This record gives sequence, structure tokens and C-alpha cells, in this order.
Amino acid sequence: MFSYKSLSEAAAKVYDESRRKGGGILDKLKEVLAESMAGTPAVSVFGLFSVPQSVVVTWILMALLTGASLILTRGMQRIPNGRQTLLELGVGTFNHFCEENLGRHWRVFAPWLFTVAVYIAAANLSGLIGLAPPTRDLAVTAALALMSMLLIYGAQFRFRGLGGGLKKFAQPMPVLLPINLMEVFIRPLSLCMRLFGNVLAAYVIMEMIKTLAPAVVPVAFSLYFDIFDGLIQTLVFVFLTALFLGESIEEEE
Amino acid sequence: MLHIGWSGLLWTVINLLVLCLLLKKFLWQPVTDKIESRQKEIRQNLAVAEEQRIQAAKVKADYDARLAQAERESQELLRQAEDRGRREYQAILASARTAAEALAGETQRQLEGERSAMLAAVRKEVAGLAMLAASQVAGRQLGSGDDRALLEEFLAEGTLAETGGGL
Repeated sequence: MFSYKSLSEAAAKVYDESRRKGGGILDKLKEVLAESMAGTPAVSVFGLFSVPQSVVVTWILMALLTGASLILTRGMQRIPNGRQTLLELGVGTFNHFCEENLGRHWRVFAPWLFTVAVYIAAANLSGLIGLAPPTRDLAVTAALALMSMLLIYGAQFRFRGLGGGLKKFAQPMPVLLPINLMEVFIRPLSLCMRLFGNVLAAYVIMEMIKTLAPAVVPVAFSLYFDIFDGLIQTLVFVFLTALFLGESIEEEE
Repeated sequence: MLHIGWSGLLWTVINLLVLCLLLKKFLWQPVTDKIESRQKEIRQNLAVAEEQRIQAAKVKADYDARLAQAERESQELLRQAEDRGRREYQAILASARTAAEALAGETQRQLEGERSAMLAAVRKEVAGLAMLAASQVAGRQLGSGDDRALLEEFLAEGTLAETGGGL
């Protein structure tokens, strides 16, 4: 639908306009970029203390998600109706995914992974209802990645014991010990940066498109950058976390 | 240029933990419980159905066996009744035949007796008549016992041979 040609034409147009207006649009884009990378602005809560905007949005999302959960699970029947069928399909598919990746102990980790999935999806899509996506704040994605890392390596020691957990770093062969140790930091860093980078990039690109073509055109691009990419990043984050987790707790043959 | 707000990080960790508790309590746990209880129920129902199917098959086999047994028994009874009937029929027939034969023999004997008695009577009569005729012819009374005996002997020996067939 959106060919490479139309994108390159848009880029050419940006270049032309910036030349004609003497860098007006480029200046604006720089402004947007600098603003979005400087972290989210602080918001005062009842004048008592101030928290980043992303935290306030997260609170709103938490309230919405909890409310939606209460409404969705209300009056569940033994024989499901349409809404309950969809709900059970979603949760059932997720549980199945956890069971396949995590094995016997999936039940311990499923609620956390479920929360991460629902939260990232809601955060990435929150732009649609006019909120600033919390995942555009590096602090939020860093917190998510940090928790994932704690979960992965915590589980490694919890299920293998201290000795088994340490030994896992020298597997499948001792030569890989440095790489395995580096992974402890690389994995959360890549999880954190991938999510942040994607959401930020989507935001920047959307700002660019809105600057160039304020009407109609952004809607089409929004379908990809706000919805599709947001959901894909959710899937990637949860899938990788589950993969690392399954690897760290997998049973010895 | 990249900036991590430490308070934001801390807040997000807290938020995530709280959200995890909320979602687990209000969404994940109820739905998972529902799915699993239904799975359990279905598994149980299937097991019960299988058990009932086996039970039904057993009952049917039992019933079939009993039906076959009853059929065999009824056939046996029928055969026995037939046998008995045939035997009784034969017995009755035999006794009837014996009785009929006995009756026929008796009748025969009676007839023989009557015949011989009649013959004797006829012989006596004829002798009397012959004597009467002879006395008429001879003009005298054949009254002596010798004559009468002689006549009877004569009649028994010869003359009656032709009249016997006529009787």
C-alpha cells in the first residue's frame, strides 16, 4: 500500500521544503526529536510531589485495565458466550504459549508475562486515545527490562540452586562463559532499547508525516506505526523474555 | 542526550508489580480457572461417558446371552413337547391297535362259536328231519337210539359236506 517510492518522494519533499524555507521544518523536527528524547515532563500530583508524565499515564492505564478486567470477567458462565469465548481464547493461547516455552513451571511466570504483555500493548496503543505512550520514556522500558532480567536470572538460581545457577553460565561449554556473563547485561539492554527505540521512532516518523501532510495521510501511516508496530514490539518483548526464561530454567536431560 | 529518570524507573517498577497483582487477581486467574475447570469437567465427562459405554456394552452382551439362552431353552422345550406328543401318539395308536385286534379276535371267536353251535343245531335238525322222512318212507318208527346215532354219523361224514358250504 505504501510503496518505497511514496516514502522516498516524501523524503524528497522534506528536503525540498527545508531548502526553500531555510530549514524551518528541519528545525521543527530537531525540536520534536530533542523533546522526545529528553524524557517525559514531570507532572505534579495534588501539588504534593511530582512524577514523570509516563508514570501518570501508567496509572491511568492501570485504572483502565483493571476496570476492563472487572467488566470482562463479570458473570462468566460455565458455557461461554461471545465475549467470554474471546477472553478465554486470548488467555488460553497465552497460557499455552507459556507452557510451551517454560515447561513445567509455567504457572509461576504466566501472570508476570501476561502483565508485561498487556501493559506494553496498552502503552503502545495509548497514543490512539490521546495519551503519551509511557513506553516512549526510557525509564519505563528500562524498568520493564530490569524486571525481566531479575526474573530470568532469579529463576535460574531459584530452580537450579546456587551451584546449578552458576554452572548454567558455563553451558553449553565453558568457553562461552564470558559471553553468557555479558548477556546478563546485553539482554535487558537490548530489550529496553528495542522497545524504546521502536516507539520513539514511530513517534518521530508520525510527527514528520503530520508536519508534511496534516490530513488523511497520517491515518494510514498511523495504522502501521501506532498499531501494528506497537503490537509487534509487545510480542517481541514477551517472546524474548519467555525464551530467555525458558532457557534459564530448562530441565537437564 | 538519552536520559533515564530514576524516579520514573522506580515508579514504573512499583506500578508493574501492582498491575501484576491486579491483573492476576481480576483477569488472569479467573479466566485461567474457568478454562481449567471446564477442561477438567470435560475430561471427567468423557471418562464417565466411556465408562457408561462400556457398561452398556456389557449389559447388552449379557442381555444377548440371556436372550440366546432363552431361545435355546424354548427350542428344547418345544422339542421335548413334540417328542412326548409323538410318543404318546404312538402309544395311543399301539394300544388302539391292540384293542382293535383283540376285539376282532374276540368277534372272530364268537362268530366261530356261534357258527359251530348253529351247525350243530342244524345238523341235529336235519337228522331229525331225515329220520322223520326215513320213517315216513319206511313206514315205521325209527325210534331206536342206534338208528339215530347212525344217521347223525352219516350226516356228519358225507352229506353235510355240500350243505356246509351253503351255510
